[in-house]
Amino acid sequence: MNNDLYQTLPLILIVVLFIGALLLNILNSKKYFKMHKYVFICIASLFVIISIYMGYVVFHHNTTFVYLFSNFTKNDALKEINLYVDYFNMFLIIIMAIVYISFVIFNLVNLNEKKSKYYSIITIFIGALTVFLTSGDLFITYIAAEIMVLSQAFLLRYDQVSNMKDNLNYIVFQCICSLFIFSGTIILYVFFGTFNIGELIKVIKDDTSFLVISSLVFLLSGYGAKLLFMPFHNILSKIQYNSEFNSSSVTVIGTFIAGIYALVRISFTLFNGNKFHLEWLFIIWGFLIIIISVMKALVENSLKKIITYIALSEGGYFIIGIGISLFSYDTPMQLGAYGAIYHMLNMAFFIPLLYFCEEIIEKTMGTDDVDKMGNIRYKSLLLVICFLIGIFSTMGIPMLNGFVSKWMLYKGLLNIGFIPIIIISVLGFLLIFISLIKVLYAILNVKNKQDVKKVKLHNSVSISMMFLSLMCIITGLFPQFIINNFLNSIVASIYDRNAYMNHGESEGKFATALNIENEITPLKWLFILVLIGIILYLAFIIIKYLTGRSLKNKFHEEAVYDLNEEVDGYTSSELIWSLNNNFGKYFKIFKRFKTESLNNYVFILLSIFVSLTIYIALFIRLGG
Amino acid sequence: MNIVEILKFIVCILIFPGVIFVSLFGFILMGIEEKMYSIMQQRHGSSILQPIYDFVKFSSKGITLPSKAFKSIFIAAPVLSMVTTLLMQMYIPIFSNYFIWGNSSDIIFILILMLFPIITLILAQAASGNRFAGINISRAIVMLISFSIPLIIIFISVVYKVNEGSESGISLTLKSIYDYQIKYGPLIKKISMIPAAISFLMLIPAILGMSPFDIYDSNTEIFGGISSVFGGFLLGVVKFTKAVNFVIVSSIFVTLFFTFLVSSINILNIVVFYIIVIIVIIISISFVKSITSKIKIEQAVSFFIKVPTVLSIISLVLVYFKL
Repeated sequence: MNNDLYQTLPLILIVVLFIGALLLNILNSKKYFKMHKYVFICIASLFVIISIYMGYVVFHHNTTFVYLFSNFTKNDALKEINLYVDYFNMFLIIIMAIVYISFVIFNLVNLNEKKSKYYSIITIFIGALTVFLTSGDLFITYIAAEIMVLSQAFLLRYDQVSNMKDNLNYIVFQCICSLFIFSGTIILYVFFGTFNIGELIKVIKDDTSFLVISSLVFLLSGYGAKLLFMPFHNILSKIQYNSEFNSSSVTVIGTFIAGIYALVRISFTLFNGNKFHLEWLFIIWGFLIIIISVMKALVENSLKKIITYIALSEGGYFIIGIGISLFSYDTPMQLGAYGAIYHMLNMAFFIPLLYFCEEIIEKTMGTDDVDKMGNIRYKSLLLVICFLIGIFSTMGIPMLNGFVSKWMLYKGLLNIGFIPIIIISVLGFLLIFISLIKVLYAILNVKNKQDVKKVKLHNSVSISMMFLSLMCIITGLFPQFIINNFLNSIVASIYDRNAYMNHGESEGKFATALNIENEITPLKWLFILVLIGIILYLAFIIIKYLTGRSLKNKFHEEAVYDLNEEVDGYTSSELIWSLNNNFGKYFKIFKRFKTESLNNYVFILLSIFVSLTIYIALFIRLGG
Repeated sequence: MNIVEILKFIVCILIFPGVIFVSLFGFILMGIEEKMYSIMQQRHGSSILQPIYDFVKFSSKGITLPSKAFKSIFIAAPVLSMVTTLLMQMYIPIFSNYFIWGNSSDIIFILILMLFPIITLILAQAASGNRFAGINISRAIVMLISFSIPLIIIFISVVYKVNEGSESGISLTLKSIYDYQIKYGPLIKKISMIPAAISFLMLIPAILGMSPFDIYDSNTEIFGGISSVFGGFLLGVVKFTKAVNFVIVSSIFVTLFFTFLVSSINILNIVVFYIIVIIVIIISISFVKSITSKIKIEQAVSFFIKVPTVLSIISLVLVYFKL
């Protein structure tokens, strides 16, 4: 696998996406419109095939891809602009490929001349994300992040004044974040003379000088605010609310993937995060994300915003995971890294699934206000089932994927013993349920039966949603398979800074083999559930036989609530009235946590910068 | 697995401590609780087999579906609740040396499954098409949140106590809690665990939806509580789940705080285990029910925050000081 031709695969992957985006744009006319659909599918399929093949090479043959733009000798990699693919970024590319193909399949039915330009922008977004993930150079990484943000800005609706204001706030805010990232990158370049990550690892080592601290702070606050939007949750919810159709499913996951990649590369690879005591910072950061986002989701009425806040709160879990794994490089703490990466994989399945359901619900109801919805159950059973799977996976119900990653994170948190965060994380399970039960109640709620229209889902939409639901179940049932085949090598490569410099050739000192087979046994749970189900069913048959009654005759409908037809039922937002009434005084502070204006955003970003500098400097001083 | 082990496994799932035993014992436990309540009120009361008669009556009826209900979820939710509750029974360490699933009885798994019956009832209520379902859901949500906080803290306290001084990371399995108590004596003997045990005792009526915390599931409450939407066979399923839950929740309490072996003979240990389970139910439900009146939801929330939560936090602090 050391053949030079193989090393060009990362470049081919990027080229496919950018040329594909160009082609989609060219074909955006009446004359070629029929081809548009096939080209779109071809690009997505090619991206998936190349990614999976690269994944096979990386994980099966334990090798890395290093592509140099000037020549093909690996020895010069540290001096050159290069593309670098190891276990970690390969895994993230595969995740993104899965999200992208589900998005393409889901949207085949939506393809029309008016919207097709957005698909080329999304393809550019994916291309930029691939560059971001594969680049071995800080400056190109920065440029890729800019392209991602720009393409996301083009996916927003600018049809109303309020939209315009929010979108411009977003763009200006992103520019300020870029300034931070650029400053961090330039500081490193000025003092170490290179943008190359491998070379920088070599020269920085365990350096804790002021310059290194300042560049670390610039990069962390810049990438944190730019890609993970915390504590700028309002920006994310507003721009996702303003975004065209279901592009959120790709952009939210895409930015989170870029965010987790940037955080891991900065805190593990580029700088020695353990030396800078970043662990508490990440844990508190993640904690704040979870609690504030869930609280915001609780009081929100817009379905799209609720899902965005839920996605953001789920993002908090993987930041906590990174924090746990930075505590020490021992096995109990490595659970944090395992949990974070597994959670990223899970998010790539249940968050797009929720967004897809949201798209259908919004289209069917003509509104995304949960208070105005109803009767959806008469419209599509598949939709409700997929939505339920998405909700239960997000909550972390056993046998679905959310449980596995959250279990690892809970256990990791118990290992470090910071009680309030453990309580909130576990309670997050219930808070997410409550936020989503609002939605569920909204779609199951009966409004007026006369309004009911039966809507048949298009095959491509059904396939896409069923695929994501199935993945939620499969990754929940076979966690050990994913750990053995992917996560063990990824975690070992994350911890080993030298492996990056040596093009993936690890010394093996961080090699791990996590075994959760004895603790999480979803297959056994499923088996026993089925067994109990069969026993109960047989008991039911016996009763039927003994009583001589037919089961079919036992079902009868009764119009038990029809008498109340003239009475308006509870609206979804009223569901949390009692909660608000009883607990309002305890979490008022979170509801007040608003960052509405651009001035506030900048002020908060600067405060974060200053407090980060003080935090790291203080810890280093205290730590000697 | 050899044939003997497979047979042992099937017997465990089907007969003891599995489906047949836990169902019958659950109903009898409900009957005992009701009988004790009657005795405390100086009434004759119904037979301890009354819950079984009720269940048979409900089962023989048809399945009544509200015409506006989302039928598949409306039927599936209580059935799922029943099956998951039965699943939990397989993870309770009854025998001294035999767990049906070895070490895999994880405490986070148990914690989530303990809350699952209420979650599924909320789901069924939402799918019922009842215009007043929102009121019951709203009240159930409040109760769920208010008793979950101390419950989580209790579980954390127990896990930390059991893993005190462990260098190989935290173990979350019920087996580790069981083994610890076999080695060092029941956890209730530790000062730090007494507040946690008292707190758990106070939470049992809330988890089971019993008086005085039956606000979300009492037929005397507004719109008849969360299970009011069911009738006939499905109501039977809900009652069955509640009966099984009686055994599960009290068994978890006994496993967490009162595990000890009285003899090397397994049967004797099992008898003692279930005698303690009956005592726990009499104290936490019959006794509490007979000395308390109905309370408002605000009072319940305030109580959960002021008493069980504070007690569980005290327990956690005492665990921190290794008491």
